[in-house]
Amino acid sequence: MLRSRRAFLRRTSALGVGAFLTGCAATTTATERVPRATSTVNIINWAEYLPLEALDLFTGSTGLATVNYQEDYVDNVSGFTNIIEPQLRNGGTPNFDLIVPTQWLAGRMIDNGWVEALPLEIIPNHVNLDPRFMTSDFDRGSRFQMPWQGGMTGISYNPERTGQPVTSVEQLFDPALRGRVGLIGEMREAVGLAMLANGDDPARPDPESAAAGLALLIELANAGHFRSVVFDDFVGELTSGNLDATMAWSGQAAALQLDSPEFEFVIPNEGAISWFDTMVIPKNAVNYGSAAAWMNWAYDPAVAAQISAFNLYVCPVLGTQDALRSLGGFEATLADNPLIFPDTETRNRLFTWGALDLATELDLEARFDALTEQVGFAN
Amino acid sequence: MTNVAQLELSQTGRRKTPTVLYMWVGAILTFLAISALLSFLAIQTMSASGSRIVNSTGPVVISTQGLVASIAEADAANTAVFLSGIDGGIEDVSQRRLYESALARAPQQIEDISAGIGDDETTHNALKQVALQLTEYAGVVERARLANANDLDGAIPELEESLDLTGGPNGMLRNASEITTRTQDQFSNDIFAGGFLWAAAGVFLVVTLILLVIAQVRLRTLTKRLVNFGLVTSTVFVVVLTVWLAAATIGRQADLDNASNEASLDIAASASLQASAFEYKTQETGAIIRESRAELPNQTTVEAIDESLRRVNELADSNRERALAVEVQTRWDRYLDASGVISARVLQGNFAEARAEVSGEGNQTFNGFNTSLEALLLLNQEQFDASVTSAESRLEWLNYGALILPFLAGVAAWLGYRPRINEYF
Repeated sequence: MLRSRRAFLRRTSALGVGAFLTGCAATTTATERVPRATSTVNIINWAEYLPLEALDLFTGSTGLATVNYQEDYVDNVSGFTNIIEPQLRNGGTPNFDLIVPTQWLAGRMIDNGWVEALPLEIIPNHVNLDPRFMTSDFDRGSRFQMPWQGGMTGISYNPERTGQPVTSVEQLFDPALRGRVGLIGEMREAVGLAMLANGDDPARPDPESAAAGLALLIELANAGHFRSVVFDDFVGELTSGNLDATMAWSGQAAALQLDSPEFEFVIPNEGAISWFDTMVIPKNAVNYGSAAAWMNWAYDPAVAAQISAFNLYVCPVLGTQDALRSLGGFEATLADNPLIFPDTETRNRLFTWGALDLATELDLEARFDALTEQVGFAN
Repeated sequence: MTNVAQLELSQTGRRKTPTVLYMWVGAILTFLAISALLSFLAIQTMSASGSRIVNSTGPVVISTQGLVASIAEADAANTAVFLSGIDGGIEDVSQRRLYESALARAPQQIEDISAGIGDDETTHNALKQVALQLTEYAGVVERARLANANDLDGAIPELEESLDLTGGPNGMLRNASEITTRTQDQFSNDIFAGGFLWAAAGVFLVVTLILLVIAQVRLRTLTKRLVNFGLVTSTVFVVVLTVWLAAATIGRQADLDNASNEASLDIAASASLQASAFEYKTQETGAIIRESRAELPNQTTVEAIDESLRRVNELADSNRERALAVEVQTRWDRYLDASGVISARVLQGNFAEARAEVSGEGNQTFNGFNTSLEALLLLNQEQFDASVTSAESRLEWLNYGALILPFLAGVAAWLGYRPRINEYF
């Protein structure tokens, strides 16, 4: 885990410098690389995103001999600094064939020309991509990335400990919870929620409103409001009683509810931040065709149903609801879960972080990193 | 001529280059100079037209289609927002954000087009009209939204006006189409720019080669040397230039033909499909908001879409493009399924359910179609850019070659005619 202060500083500073320096890098070209079948594929994903027994299903259905699946992607900053940037910056051959950054980082990778165009000729299931995931400005029509799962950053809390429902960001920031609140470690989500509390729109941020959101978080941190910075470890922090309430990711919060129904997850009254993690094939990936085969496999609704039933995140694959219903039992109940298949009412309360210019974003990232250093990470 | 030269030699008894041979070398040097000049001018003209294609024609065609996609997406989303909010319904905020995002892209696209269209007045006027209409459209949409929220009578006419501004006979899509047509005409002109000069240069180079060959044959009869190294070297330089010029321009033309295929045919087919699909959706919306069964999409529009889809599939010239064309077709079929439900509701007179279907599945599937078509367009753009870049790279260094090689050939020819001791009989 990369939660030490030194490691965090190292990776964050490198993210800023790296991103600046790569601004002039070549953009992705039109060259159509011909996909060739190989016997292996190396995948780096976030933890708890896939039932590992599904790997056998993949090798069985595609005939690949080996899937080297690593859950080494902890967060976007360390993912960029420790994995992506060192291997792709100088145009080398990466030791992985597929990685799953969050959409904003995937956009930056595409801009830098670090991503292969998808060989759509061997990904016929691309047609199952939900149109709602196809409108990103950085990749209209999704030719360079395929979303793995989406999610929402809202509030998870223990009502017994908070003593009252926490249904708004305003309540999460209430001094009554001082020292018992978790701060999510992704800048766009934390600042986005703070912007919503300020009455600003994180889907259309400007430098001033984003800075105001960050200033609110800094003010709260100075007042000792946040106990720790959390990522997917917020679950342990809540169940251990270290935190009473926290900014939280919808999938793991929903899983927590299944095990411990006393915990609540809410989309705050002001709204939640929506995002998606997306599969990209790095430039010069050795097993390019096999990585594409993985994408195609993951976009089979029957497979997507198993993945969604495991991680409970927002599913980007059309036909998955029907596939879940056909499984019956617990899986069938998930087909109408708005955390996995958001309905219009839910979608209306979601905000996807809108892009700012790179310099402003890097500045925000640096200042947010200083804030997380000040607050400290959960152990 | 040979007799005259021999006579001249015997009369003077001096071992020097005969005057007639000076005339030969003079002719060769003159032809070389003209060839160099024509080659250089041809390359300059082709380079200029290539730059125009890279910096202007291509980006304008692409940005225009991008603008059309943005307008189509904005309008589809806006219609969904409006229909969801009708009769006191809850407005679809996510679609509203999609509308805002699509509308926000349009000014930059207009700016990109403006930067590339040069001084063609018709194109400028069409673009100016689109820019004005876009501003007007944004205003009409807000008025329609306000009236809709307050359940005022003017809401429907305002929405109709917004539809007219986008897909009407003088709407933004029509003006965008005018820009595309004009730009493609310009592209066709640019492809063939420099062709006459290139042909003339080729003729002069070939004539020069013939002169050099004849000269060598003649000199063999006048001198003791079997091979005149100067003239041979000169010939080699001219051959190199001729082959280089021919290979570069033929290769360039092939690249530009390929680009033309991407830009003019593929993009035109995609644009036509986009326009027909949008017309279909506008007719569908019109039927719902005016509660008029007769206004449902007509057979002509459906046939136009089928024809465009067929054309897009037919023109796909790479595996990836074919895959995208199949995806476009599949997503259109999905939209048609949703549209079938909408039409059925309209025919039943159940307009409330028709509106709900448009706001939900209808809009989602249309967005899927529209975005996948945009992806196809972007792929065409990349193929176009790659072809044009390849075309331009073929001229690299050739302008230097066009001047240096004839110069070297001239020097070599002159040296080949220089008198040497006992060289001439």
